[in-house]
Amino acid sequence: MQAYFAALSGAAPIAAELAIKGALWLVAIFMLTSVMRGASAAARHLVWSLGVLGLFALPLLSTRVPWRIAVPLAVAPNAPRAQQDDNTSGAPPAIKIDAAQQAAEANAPAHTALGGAPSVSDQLPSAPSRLPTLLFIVWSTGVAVLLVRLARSIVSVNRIIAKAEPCADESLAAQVYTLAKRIGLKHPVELLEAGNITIPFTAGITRPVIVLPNVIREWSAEKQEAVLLHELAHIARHDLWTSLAAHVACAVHWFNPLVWVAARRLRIEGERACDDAVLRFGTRASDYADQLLQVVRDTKIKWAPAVAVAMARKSAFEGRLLAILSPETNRGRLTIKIATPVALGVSLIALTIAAMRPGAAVAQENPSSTSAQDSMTAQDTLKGAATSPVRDVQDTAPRGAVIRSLVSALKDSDEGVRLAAVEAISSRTERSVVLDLVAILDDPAVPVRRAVAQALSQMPDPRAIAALLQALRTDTDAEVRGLAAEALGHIDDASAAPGLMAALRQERVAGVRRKIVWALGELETPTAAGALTEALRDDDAEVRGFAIWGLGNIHAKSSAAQIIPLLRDPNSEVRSKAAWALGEMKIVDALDELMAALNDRDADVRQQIVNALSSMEDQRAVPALVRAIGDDNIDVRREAVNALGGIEGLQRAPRELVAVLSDADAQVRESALQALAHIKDPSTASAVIPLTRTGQPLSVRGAAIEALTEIGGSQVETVLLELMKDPDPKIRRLAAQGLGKDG
Amino acid sequence: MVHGTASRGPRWGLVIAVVLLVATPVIASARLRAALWDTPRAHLTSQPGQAQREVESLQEFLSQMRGTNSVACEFAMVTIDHNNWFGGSDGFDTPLLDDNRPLVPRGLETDAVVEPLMTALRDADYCVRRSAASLLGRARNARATERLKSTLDDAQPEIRALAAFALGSAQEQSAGPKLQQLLRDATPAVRAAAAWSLGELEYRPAIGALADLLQHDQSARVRRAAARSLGQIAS
Repeated sequence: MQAYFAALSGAAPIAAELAIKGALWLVAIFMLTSVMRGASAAARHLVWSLGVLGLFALPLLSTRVPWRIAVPLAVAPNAPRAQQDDNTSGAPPAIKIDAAQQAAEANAPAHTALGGAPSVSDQLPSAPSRLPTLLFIVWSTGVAVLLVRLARSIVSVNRIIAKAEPCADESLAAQVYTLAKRIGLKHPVELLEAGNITIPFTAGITRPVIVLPNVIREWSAEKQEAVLLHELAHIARHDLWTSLAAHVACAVHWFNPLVWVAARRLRIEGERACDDAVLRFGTRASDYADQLLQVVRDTKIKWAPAVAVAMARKSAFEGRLLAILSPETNRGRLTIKIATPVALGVSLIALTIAAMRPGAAVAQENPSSTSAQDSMTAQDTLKGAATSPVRDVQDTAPRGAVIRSLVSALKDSDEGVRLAAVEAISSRTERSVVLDLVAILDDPAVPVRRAVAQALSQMPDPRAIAALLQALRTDTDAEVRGLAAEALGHIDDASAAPGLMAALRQERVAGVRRKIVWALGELETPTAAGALTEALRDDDAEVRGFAIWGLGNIHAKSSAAQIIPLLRDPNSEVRSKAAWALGEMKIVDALDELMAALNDRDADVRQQIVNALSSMEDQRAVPALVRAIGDDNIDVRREAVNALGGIEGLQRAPRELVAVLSDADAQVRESALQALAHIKDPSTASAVIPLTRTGQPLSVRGAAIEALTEIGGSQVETVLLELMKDPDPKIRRLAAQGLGKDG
Repeated sequence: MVHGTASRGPRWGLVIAVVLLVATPVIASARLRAALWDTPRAHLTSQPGQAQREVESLQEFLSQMRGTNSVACEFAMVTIDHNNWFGGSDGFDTPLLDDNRPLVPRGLETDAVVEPLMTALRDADYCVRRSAASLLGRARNARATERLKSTLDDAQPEIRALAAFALGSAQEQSAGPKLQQLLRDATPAVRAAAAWSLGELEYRPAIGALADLLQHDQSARVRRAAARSLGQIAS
């Protein structure tokens, strides 16, 4: 946490920059919507939705946009500007601060993580400013309060839903069904009835629900239809999603008044768009306005959670009524023709704002900063990598004393010291102290535990197995668990298998499961076959891949039936590994599936399949291999040619293989020649002879001479004698060898 | 015709609430990463090196560093070595950093830059002091080394610490005995810098003193630096 605050001093200017960009962005959205007066409510709603979503996208965009627009007056990391901001933005504060020093005083562990750097700050007189930390606390408190409020209102809505009963009125249900179809809803909408509410409402992020008050049965059919259409329109327009996003945006940017206005406009435009939808379906505007008025008049809104209500606001309601009644209102639905230019325009604004950066000139202010620094860490890490040569100087301390001091530092009260000691021990590979390391595998500090687990990977020792398995089962930090699994793989002791398998069953984090499965494969113990076979069905592709690899390693032929379907896995890496494993284990039963999978769209997979087919050494694979000769990918072609050469007992060379002799790629030609040398089909001699001649690369000519020698035949001697006159001594030597063998 | 945000099923509300509470720090850390991504680059994009003379190029560089806050300054220090966490060596490309253009001022090996750098070491601005120490460490220049060694006795603790750090970065072996003496300095920051630098030097004679510091020093930072250095001085 201290590291977090320390980094705040770096984050401050950018936090302010983002707060300002957020405000700019909303101003742009305001201007855009104000020129869209004549557009439909649905179109304006789209702009507002993008405006809200843009608040989340801007920070990301700002880091990714490759170009920049320098804004000299924009944010710079100095105090005067930041103080202005403080009134308008409670964002993570933007003041040049000494948080680094506070963090240093609190012995921030992160700094040691960077290498335990020296600091020059201890003696500096400057009083640390606590303002940024304070502002950060204020901001995050605000966020927390608003999110809790949001959660509470969600809970209260849920409570009503939980108490509500399915709507018993079948005619009403049927009406909803037909209306839903008319409005274009694809998924069913659940209809509930509750006695304790007075107005109907829609809820449900994952599954939409309409909750109706009991009194709805007393309403006229027209009123019912209008109300239901309105609610269905909310569902069809995914208003619940945008409304949730708006609430979260308000919570995060609560210091920005524009966000609140934007959220309110979003809600209002959403309601109007739904009204428009109702009117598009033929309800008369005056009737609908009347019904709406009745609903409001009849309803004393007792229940108004934060996540609800546009109509409770009188001013907004008047505007809404006017919009309903005005014949000039544009009630168009959102079409691609409208949405595309709007989205393009909004994206353009977003990119422009994201590209804005404070100009370099601004950073010149603040000449007398006395800010204290923890530091030099960065330089430090670099140097850590570059080690200087070990020199022969007399030790002044016996090795034992150093190790003793490092071991006692493992119990230091400061976690940074413990961490540095662990790292020191691991870089010295002090195997004698493995047990001391194991003893702090339950250290309260996460970085220390991670470092210990990593050190145990580097110093694999079976004595650590029990503690590592314990960590794998119980540690709360996923990275520690992953590193523990990794260490167990490095220790490579089969006794860890049962513990790893138990951990695999309960592990929720895919990244950790990968490590566990990898470790099980590394152990190469047949006992792991069951667990690995089970892991073939894991949701995570990498877990499946490691499981296949592990099964291939232990030659678990019994798992072949489960591996074969993975030749059709969505993940190409998994398919490729499956092919590899089937070849590795020589599962001849998989021949048909492998050949069928040769049409894979991924060239690496095809190559691996050809490889597997070739390791089967089965003549039945020949047709598939011959087909693979014509593959688009040169590696696959080469692999197929090689594979054909490796198949025993082939009497006649396939025509396609001979055709490869004119391939554009010299290496492919060479492979083909080697394959033909192996097959020794006399009818291929005449095709090989031209490749011995000048004009071909030396390697091809050499391979052709060797192939010709192997194939034999009547013409061989003539050709070889001819080649004895070749200017190249290497060719002459090969020809001579061929003649010798021939004779 | 009110719509509420909720979903069906038991306790979904609580689940969403928890997710939102967890998401807040994630969003905040995204901002933090944005900050760290941006800041050093912002200071280093207008390249030094256009200036004709070494000293001008140095001043131009230092003026760009001026005013950079402490964390950003550290990242800038890494950036100039083409070795930061988003650029160069770890497989990502940094679009604005071109390997062919020098990010550090030219001519650090010349004597002309030594005095300006020594002056910058006492600048009022932290990042300027910090950059000067780094550049002096990179210079590996005999004259700079001599000046730094005599600065190890400076009256100001911060200057002693920066000089020790620069000598450690330069891996200047001849500074070993002097740095070992600084392990007994009254100021923890100086002791920490000296301990750190002795690790960079892999100065074996200091092993005993470092082991002693690790066990007995009052300041955690000194103990950390000692532990790290003991790891570096491989036995």
